[in-house]
Amino acid sequence: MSEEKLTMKQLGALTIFALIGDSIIILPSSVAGISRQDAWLSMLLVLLFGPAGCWLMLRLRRLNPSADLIQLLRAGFGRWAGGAVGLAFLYFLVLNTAAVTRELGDLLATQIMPETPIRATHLLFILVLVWGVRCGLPTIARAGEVLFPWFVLFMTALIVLLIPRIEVDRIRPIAAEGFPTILHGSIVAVVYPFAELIVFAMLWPAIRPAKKLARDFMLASLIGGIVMFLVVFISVLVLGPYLTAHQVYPTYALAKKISIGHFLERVEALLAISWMISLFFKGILYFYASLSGIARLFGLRESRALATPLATVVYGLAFAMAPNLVYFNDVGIHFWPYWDITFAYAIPLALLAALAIRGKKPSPAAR
Amino acid sequence: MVMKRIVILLLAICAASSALLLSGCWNRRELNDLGIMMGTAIDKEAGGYRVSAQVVDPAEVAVKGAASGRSPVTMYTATGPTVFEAIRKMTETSPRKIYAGHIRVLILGEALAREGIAQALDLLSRDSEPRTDFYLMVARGTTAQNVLKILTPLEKIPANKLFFSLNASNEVWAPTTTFTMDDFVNQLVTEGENPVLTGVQLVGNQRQGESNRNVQEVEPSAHLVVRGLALFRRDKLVGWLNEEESIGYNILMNHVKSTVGHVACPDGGKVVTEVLRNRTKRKARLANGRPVIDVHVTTVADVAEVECKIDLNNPAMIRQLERQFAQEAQRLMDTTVDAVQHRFRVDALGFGHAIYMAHPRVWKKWRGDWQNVLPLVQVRYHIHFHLRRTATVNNSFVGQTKE
Repeated sequence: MSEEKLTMKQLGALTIFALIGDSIIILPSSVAGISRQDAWLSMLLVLLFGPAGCWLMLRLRRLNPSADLIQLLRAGFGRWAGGAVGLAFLYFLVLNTAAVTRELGDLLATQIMPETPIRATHLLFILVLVWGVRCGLPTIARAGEVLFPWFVLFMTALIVLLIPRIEVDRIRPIAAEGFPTILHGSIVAVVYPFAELIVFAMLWPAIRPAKKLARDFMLASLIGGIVMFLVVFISVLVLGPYLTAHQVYPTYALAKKISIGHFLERVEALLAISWMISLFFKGILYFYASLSGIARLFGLRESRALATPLATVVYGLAFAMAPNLVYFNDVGIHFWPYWDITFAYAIPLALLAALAIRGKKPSPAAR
Repeated sequence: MVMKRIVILLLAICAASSALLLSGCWNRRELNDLGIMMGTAIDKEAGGYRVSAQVVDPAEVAVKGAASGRSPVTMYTATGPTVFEAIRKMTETSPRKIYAGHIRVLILGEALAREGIAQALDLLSRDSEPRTDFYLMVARGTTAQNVLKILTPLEKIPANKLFFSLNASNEVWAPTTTFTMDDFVNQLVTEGENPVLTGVQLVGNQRQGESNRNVQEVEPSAHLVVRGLALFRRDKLVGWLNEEESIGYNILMNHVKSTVGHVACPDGGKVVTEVLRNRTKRKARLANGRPVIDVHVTTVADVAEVECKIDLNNPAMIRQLERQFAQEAQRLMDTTVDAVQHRFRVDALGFGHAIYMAHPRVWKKWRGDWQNVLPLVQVRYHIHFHLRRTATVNNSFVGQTKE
C-alpha cells in the first residue's frame, strides 16, 4: 500500500486513546471491587506490569517491522496452523470491536438515555466506524491528533476539579487486606488497558519506522497508565471504596461530584463526550485491524470494501454478545481477562518461541 | 471514483439524519412536560410507602410576569408497595411526569426511620435521574409529608428553603451539619461507623403553615427548624442528640466551620467567642490492649461579645478565657461521647472505624462484639484554643456604666 505512514505523534495519541479507551468507564469498579481502598496500590503495580507487556508487542515488531501479526503467525506456525491461529485472532479483534460498541451503548442507556434502545446508539457508532475506516488509517490518526488536546483538557478537568472533594481518610487503612488482594486487583487492572494494546501488532506496518518508536510507544503507554492510576485513585478518594465498587460507571458518578462554588457543576454529560472519543478510537483501531487482518489472511488486495459487511457483523454481535449488562459485566470480570491474556500475551510468547526454534526470520512477502 | 463519492455522501446524509432523528428525539423530554420535583418525602404506610413530591409551579416562581397568588409549589402524594410505584402512581393526579433531577431535600418520616430506611433509599441512589447531592433529613416527631407541606417566606420553594437554611447554618452554627445521599450510604457501609442524619422539626400551627397566608404574615405561624441529629443503628433510628450533644458530635467529626459559644465570666455574666476556624484530628491507638482515641482540636477564635466586667487588656485574662473555652469544648464532646457510649450504644462517632484505620487486625477481633467494646473506648482530648483578637473594642462598657 502506498498510503502515508503514521507519525510518532499520531502513534502516541492513538496509544493513549486505545489504552484509556473503555478502561476509563469500567476499570475503577472492577479494581475497587477486588482490592477496595487499596485499588490505587493495584494500579501502581499495573504501572510495573503493563509496560512489560508492551515490550512484548515491540518485540514482535522487531522480528519484522513491515509484517503484521497475521503474517508473523503464519511464519511461526506454518501456513495452515498459523492461519487457524490468525483466524482466532481475527475473531478476538472483531469481538473486541463489538464489546467497545456495546460498552458505549450500555453507558448511554444507563446514564443518559434510558429509553433509547442500545441498537440505535450502536448503529450511529458503527456508521462512524465505517466512515472512518473508509477514509483510511492516516485520516483516523489525524483525527486522533486533532481530538487529543480536547481529551487531555477534559481528563485534566476531571482530575483537577475533583481535588477539593478529596477525603484522604477514604484510602485508609493502607494495605490492610494484605498483598494477595492487591495483586489480584492489579491482574484485572492490567488486562483492559494494557493487554488490549495488542491491536498495534496489526498496525506496525502502517507506522513510519523511527529510531525512537519503541521508547515513544512505551512512554505513551506509561502516560496512559498514569492517567488510569489517577482516575482510580481519585475515584477512591472522592467516592470511597464502596461507591466506587458498586457504581456501574463510577467515573460518571465521579463527574457528577464536580461542584466548584455551585457554579461549575453538572458537567458529567460533557465529560462523557471525552470518554466517547476514547471509546471511538479504541473501537476504530480494532475495527481497522479486523479489516486489514481479514484482507491479509485471505490474500485480498483491498480491505475497505469489507467495511460495510463487517460492520453488520459487529452490529449484530454487539447486541447479541450479552443478553443484559449483568451478563456482560460478569463475563468482563471473570472470563474476559483470560481471553485477553491468551491473545495478548500467551499467543505472542508462543509465537516468539516457535520462531526461535525454527530459527528463521519472517520475510515481508511471507503469506 | 464518482460512485465512491456518492456512497460517502449518502452515508454522511444517513449518519446526519439518524443523528438528528435518533439521539435528539427518541428520549426527549420537553421542559413543559415535566413536573420538577424539588423535595421528596417518604413515610411509612401499611404495606408500603407514602411518597410525597413537592413540585414547582413554574409560572409562580418565574421572575417575569405577575404571580397570580397561587401557591409556588404543589404537592402530589401517592401510596404504593414500593417507592418507585408510588412515584409513578402520582401521574394519576399530576398532569406531568415527575422529574427527579433537581431534588434538593429528601425527608424521611420518623416512624419510617425507626423501622429502617435502607430499602426506601435504594431507588434514589440507583436511578439515573436524581443526583446524589441532595440532603437527607428526618422529620422529628411528625410525618415527612407534613414537613414538606409548610410554605416558607424568602425562598419561594420550601425544599429550597430547607436546602439553603441547612447550608447556611452548616457554615456558621455548630449544632447542624449536612448529610447527602452519598454520605449516608458511605456511613451505612463503613466498618465501625453508624449513620447520623439531620433532624427537621415543625414549630407552630400545621394547618396555617400549609396555606399561602403563612408567607403573607411578618412572622409566619409555622416554621421549619433544622434541629438535632438522628442516630441510627444499621438503618434504624435509635434516638436523637440534643443541641449540646450535636455540637460535640460536630466538633469530634471535624464538621465545624464557624460557630459561636459562651462561657461564664469570673464574677457573673457571660463572654462569647466566635470560632473562625476549627480543625479536629482523631487517631486511635491501643494502651494496654484497650482502645484509646486521641482527639486533637485546634480552634482559632475571636472574642465576640462581653457581657461582664473583665480586663481584656490583660494577656493573662485571654489565657484564662482560652482555658475556659477549651474546657467548654471538652465538656460538649464528653457529653456526646457519653451519650454514644452509654445511652445509645451506637458508634455514631466512628470510633470503630478509627481503630480499623490504625489497627486493622485488632479491629477484626472486636468487630463482632463492638457494641460491648464501645463503652470501654477511652477518649483523650488535646485542645488548643487560640483567641486572637477582641473584635473592634478592648474593654467593654458593660463593666463601666456610671450612675
